[in-house]
Amino acid sequence: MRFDLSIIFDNWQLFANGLLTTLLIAVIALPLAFVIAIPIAFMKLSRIWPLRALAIVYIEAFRNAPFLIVLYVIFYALPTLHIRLPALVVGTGVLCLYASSYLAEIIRGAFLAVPKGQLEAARAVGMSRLQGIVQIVAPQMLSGLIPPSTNMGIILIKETSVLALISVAELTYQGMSVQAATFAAFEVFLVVGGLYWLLCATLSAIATSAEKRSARSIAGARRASVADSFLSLEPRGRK
Amino acid sequence: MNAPVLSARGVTKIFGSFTGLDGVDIDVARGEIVAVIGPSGCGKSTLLRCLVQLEEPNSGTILLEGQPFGSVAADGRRQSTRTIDRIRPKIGFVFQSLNLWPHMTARDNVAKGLISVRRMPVAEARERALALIARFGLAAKADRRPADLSGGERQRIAICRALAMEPVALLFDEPTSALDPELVLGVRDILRELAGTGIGMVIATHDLRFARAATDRVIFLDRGRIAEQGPTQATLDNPQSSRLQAFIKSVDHI
Repeated sequence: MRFDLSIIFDNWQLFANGLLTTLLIAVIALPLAFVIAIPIAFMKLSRIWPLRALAIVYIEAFRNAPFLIVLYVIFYALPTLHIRLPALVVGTGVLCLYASSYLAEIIRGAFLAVPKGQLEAARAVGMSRLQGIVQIVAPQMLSGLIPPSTNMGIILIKETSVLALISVAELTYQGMSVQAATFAAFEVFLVVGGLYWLLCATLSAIATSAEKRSARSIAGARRASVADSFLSLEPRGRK
Repeated sequence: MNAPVLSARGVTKIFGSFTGLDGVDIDVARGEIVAVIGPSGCGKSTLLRCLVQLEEPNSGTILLEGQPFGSVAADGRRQSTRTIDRIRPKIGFVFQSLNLWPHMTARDNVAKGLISVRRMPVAEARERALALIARFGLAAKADRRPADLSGGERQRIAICRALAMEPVALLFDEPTSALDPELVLGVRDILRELAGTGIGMVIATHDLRFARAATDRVIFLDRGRIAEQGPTQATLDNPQSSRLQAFIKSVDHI
């Protein structure tokens, strides 16, 4: 087998464009997914059952099918409803909805992990429920939110590759087109894989330092060491 | 006898098929310390939680300085959540597990209510918090987080947090359960001092020695009902009901 990296250098602009598009999709989809996930999480925690039911339907609809299938269903359904949008917009939107269903459960879990008494103590000094959640509970949710959200972010970055199948010109799509033109599958996909790795590794490095900072800000309110060994982004034993 | 600062009339709380409180009446005068005693599950904590409306009673009325709190006395309709939130801090609550906010310093725990609820300028609120903490001898530790304080210190900070809102009544859920025995008398002294300022107090406890040392009057709750009540010393020395006799006997064995 030949191994010829010059194919990569000759087509570097395609790879660069693909990488930027992938980055753009992730950078838009992940924060937006959070924004959608927050109300969904609190709807599922609500005492009002129609809100709860709506949240459950939303979460289970997106969470229990492969992302590709969800993408296809929405991508092909839209034109029949006379909605025509660029594939990039549809793809990013569906990815965002998909991620938000997982994030909603992550946020709900982080909320429930803060002892109930914390909010009650806020109510006892006269804060409203909303004030208590925003000012007292939310800051304590961060340390429980960062590790699973990072996992979600990494999954989301990797799932962007599925958008190649609706011809969004992201990294995998560009790789496939270079491979089709040159037949150099090994070189192309090794480099494409490496670039994904780079994106994900950068995200987890950022998250690890954010986690350390949030742990420091809640000194003494840290997770139990058992929970820590499962949740922490750092390898075990290194602290 | 002065007018009660905090009263309850016919407070009933039902959890599913279990009646937690069954028509409880209580009156707390200014500067009076009332103990609520009884075996675990008798409704002590539920009563305290109903008094501050952290638990919504199924029926009955709470009166704070003669004004309805929670539901309107005349027609029994519930007040708006906003009204209840506004009145609630007039009754301070010291939780059994204290529930200090771990991500804030002791001082900020105490100042938080003034800043968020009273809309007091931050500098002024922190000033007041420090003064209050200093009154309890903890000025040197004001900038520590709860995790870096001892159990007794944490409890005093939790009391300061409630006092910052200038309550007229104060409720304690099992204040001595997490304390070393030598600290219990310290709590009594704090309660006595607070009573001197006119604050009425209700203390849920199963520690009869503490009740004797620190409280004026005792209410014995049994399965959600008041089975007996009276001046602490006399009632505990000479219990009338067989249930209270049995309770005293069972606790004395520990």
